[in-house]
Amino acid sequence: MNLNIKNLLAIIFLVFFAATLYILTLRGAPGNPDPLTIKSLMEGDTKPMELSPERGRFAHVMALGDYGTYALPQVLADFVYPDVGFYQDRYYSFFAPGVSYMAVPFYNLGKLYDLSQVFTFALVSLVSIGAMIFMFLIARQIFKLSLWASIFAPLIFAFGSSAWSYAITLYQHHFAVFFFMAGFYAAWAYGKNTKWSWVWGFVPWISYAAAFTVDYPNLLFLLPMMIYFFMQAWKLQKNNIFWRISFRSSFILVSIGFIIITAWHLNFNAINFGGWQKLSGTLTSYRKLEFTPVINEHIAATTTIYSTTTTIPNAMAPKGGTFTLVTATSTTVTSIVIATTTATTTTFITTINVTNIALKEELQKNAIGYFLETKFPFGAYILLVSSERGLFVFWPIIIFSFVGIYEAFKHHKAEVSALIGGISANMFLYFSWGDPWGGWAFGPRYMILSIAILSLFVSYSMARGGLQRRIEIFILFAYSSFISLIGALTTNAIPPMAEAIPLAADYTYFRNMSFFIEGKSGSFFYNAYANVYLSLQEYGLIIYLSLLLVVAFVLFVMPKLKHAN
Amino acid sequence: MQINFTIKTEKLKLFSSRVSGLFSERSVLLISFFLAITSTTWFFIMDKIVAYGDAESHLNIAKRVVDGLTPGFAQLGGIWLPLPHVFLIPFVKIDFLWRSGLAGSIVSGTAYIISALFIYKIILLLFNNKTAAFMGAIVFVTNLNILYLQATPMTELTLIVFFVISTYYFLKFLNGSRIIDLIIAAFFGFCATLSRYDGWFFVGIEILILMLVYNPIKKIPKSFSELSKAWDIKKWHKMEGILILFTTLGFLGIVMWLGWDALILGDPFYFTHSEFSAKSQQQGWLAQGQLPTYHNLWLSFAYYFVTAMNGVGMLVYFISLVGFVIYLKNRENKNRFMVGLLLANTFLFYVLTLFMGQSVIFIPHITPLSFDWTLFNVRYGVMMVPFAAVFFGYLFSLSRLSGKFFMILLLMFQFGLYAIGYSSPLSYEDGVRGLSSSKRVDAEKWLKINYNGGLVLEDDFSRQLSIIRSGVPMQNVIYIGNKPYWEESLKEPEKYAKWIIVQQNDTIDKRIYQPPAMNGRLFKYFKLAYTSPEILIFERNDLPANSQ
Repeated sequence: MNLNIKNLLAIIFLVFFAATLYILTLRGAPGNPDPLTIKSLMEGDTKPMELSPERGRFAHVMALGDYGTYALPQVLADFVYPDVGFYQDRYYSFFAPGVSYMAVPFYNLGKLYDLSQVFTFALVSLVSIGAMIFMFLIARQIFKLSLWASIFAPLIFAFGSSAWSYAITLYQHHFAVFFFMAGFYAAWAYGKNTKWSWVWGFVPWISYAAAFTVDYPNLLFLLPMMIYFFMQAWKLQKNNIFWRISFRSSFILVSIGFIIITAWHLNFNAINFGGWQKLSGTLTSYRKLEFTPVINEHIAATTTIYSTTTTIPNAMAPKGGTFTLVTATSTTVTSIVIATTTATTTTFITTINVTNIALKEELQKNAIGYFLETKFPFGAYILLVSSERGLFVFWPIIIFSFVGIYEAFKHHKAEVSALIGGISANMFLYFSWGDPWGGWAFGPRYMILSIAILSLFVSYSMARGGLQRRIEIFILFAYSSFISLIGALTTNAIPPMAEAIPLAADYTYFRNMSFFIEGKSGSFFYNAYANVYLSLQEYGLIIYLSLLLVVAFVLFVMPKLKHAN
Repeated sequence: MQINFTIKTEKLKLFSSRVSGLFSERSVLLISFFLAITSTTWFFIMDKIVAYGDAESHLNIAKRVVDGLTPGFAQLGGIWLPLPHVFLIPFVKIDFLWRSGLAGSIVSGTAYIISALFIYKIILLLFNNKTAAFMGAIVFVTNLNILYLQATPMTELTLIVFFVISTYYFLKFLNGSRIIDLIIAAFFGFCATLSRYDGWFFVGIEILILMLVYNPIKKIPKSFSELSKAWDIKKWHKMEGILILFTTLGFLGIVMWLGWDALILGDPFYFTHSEFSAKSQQQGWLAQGQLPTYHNLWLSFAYYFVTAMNGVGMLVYFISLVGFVIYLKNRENKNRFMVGLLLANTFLFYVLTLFMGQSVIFIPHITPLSFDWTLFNVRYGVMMVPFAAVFFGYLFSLSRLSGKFFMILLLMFQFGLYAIGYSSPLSYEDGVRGLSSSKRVDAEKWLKINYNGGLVLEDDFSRQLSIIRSGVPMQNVIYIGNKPYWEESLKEPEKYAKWIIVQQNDTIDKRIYQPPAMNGRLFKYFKLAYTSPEILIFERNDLPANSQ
């Protein structure tokens, strides 16, 4: 990494600026939540644990930090519900374990300051800043963009898109961006074939393995980066006499990091999920079925039962209740027996046929069962143009990225191909996903990796354009960053249209606007300190104007400066 | 440390030339022949050759020409175009080929092999690259939807073969202006017009292209006085001659069909007016509010875009679209817009017919779940496979070695998507579980065991009970096309028939079973021999067994 003073200063600026904005918007509440008090963080709008992805990961962090085990105790399993499954007598969320493991040191550190949740979430902000640094380096050193254009690329991504909302809470998306960008940059540096360039070879391997622990689809998303890395290991010499193909053996040697992390990951799967090839997402669902019994007059009007496709573990028995599920009738459930149990007796109550539910879940419980080609068009519609999650709606600046791709491809075919590969893999997978909305979410959260890559091309396009293009980009940035800011300051809990209509809720970013106007914020800093002095609107406006001022400086002043090019 | 592999350039060139020698027409023929036989055998073993309801109808139409109760060419009817059935005639004469559907496999399989060959020739003609031509042909022959349809009696492959042959000679004519090529193109256009109605649009597009290429207008006149100067009279005469030559043959099929309908059925537009026409069926969907594309251009486009994507295979489709765009942008390609229009004509045709309500497609995850069916007619998407093959080949011809390697990888990845269940060949699925599938009813099995000769009165338009699976010989079936047996049987059911099959809401149900007077007559002469919720089978009381 050839870091001259200008680049170093630019990185320092990015780190401080991004850290400031992230601190101002980081979601959280003071205190060290415990399993009994944690529910207060999820009840109500704009709370730090408003949705199950952050709940699931945080519950595992708590389990690791407080109990020294990845498995969730019953009370945390109920907290994570419905994204929870089980194996034998143990509960797990459906999320990959990487984020939770990485967050444990931050959780423990936060506990010392009575801010365990805030510190845990801050990890994601740090990772995002790391991703921004690599984006800067890619723009600067690989695409040879000017200093100001290179600074702008990470800013568009981090603060000009809905990615902002996911850098201040416990989601996996920024990890994917970080590992992709770090791996890509390192693969390029490895390809320079200098004396010490082989050291860079460790990074793509480690990134690939670590990204897989964070989110399983990363295996596909980072594959183009790995192919690019692989291609960097080859060299072709040809002349009239011979063709010589050379392969750098260091490519294999530096894979040690990958081997170690992957071995740990597979062993983790074997210990927790019963097989090295079993992923948390394929665990049997822990389901509470509301049911109104009519057979026995002693049964309460509504009780909770559990369905499964295997025998029911004792751990699933609801504690403190009168009724306990005794057993399923076979390994593939056709019915569930409900009975009351005491230490010595079991009284039969009823049998409920669950064939359809069980089989349906069984069919869907494999890694690719949720992805179908026929879902692709609708997924593309939702994630590209719909008012719910459309990339073009939340981030219209994307249109300039097409120009950037076209221009960059002429000069950097291999690099642009790898980056487009990342975007294609990301879009291909999530367009085909059964839930392109990403559940209740703000903006196209599944497109965050694509947004990061496309930001590089927006910058590329801007660097090649004139003042007019910069003005156009600035206007679109102002629009996108405002939406992103109100999303970051308020909530990610935006329902898909189909769920919003029965709830009479808004399914667009106007829901965030309502919270913004009402002064409801999830920001730790605002709620803990600033709300005494400022209304949420004033607070937001200060952040927004500061951001625009900095971006205006980068776009319109820096190009005039001699040392900024 | 580096690991080196060194190869002499001379050896590499020798190897390269040997490999490229394999990319020949002969290889295409061999591969397509092998795949046709293999896949047909597979679908035969799986008993899926006659999975489509329409597949049996095509077989039966041909069978009635030679083996029906009133055989003759009039049995070809006036709705479906006749050529696919004419091709089936020699094969359906053999009962085994008729009942198994293999008669259709022979016709569609032959069309498939010839189509592969001509797709190869089209790519070679356009881009002069053998490897690209071979890859294009591979895209076509390995398409799973095509592989299924080529094993069936469906008519898509029959149209595709005429479409690609006509296209090949048409492009040859545009390149070299040899009249013989135009005549051959017109002849195969004529065949296309007698295969499926898509062929009518195709020939129309060919004529439009001829008019555009040979247009006599030198420049757009700015005023009325400039009109005569803008007009090149020599070019006008040339265009006139070419158009007359092409149209005479190209439109002959359409004129013949209109004449046939007028002669046999008394209405030249019977195929579009009658109760059996696609248009009438679409009206039914429209009445139920289940024709989403009707008068909605965006949805018509979206439906066919997705249908074509599935028909072609998702990755290959997007690659070919990239190839198509690059092709249109490349000014070096002579007549590029004409070539594009010709190859993409089916896309326009289906968008137009969906918009007009002349056709209907239901495809999962696009069609609302509230509809009765979400899978129907998706096989229309395969008409875009030749388009995809050509432009895949084009992009392949442009690519460097790494690009070629990448495209081959993607093609293999496409099969991976099928293997893991991400993609599925919906043309096959529609035949097996969609609205296009034929029902396998218990009554067929019952009839196969209990039928002991005699004429069977059945409304085969209802298609609930399969004739080929019931074991009844075609010459013993009375259906709507058997004059005067059908009309007389509806009045006096006992006059000819020994068996009467009543299918829920079919003509026999409405005319014989439901009216009280006729119902009394039915039970007077017949006993109810088989009952199911949808089908009743009556057997004549007074006839001894094995008599007709």
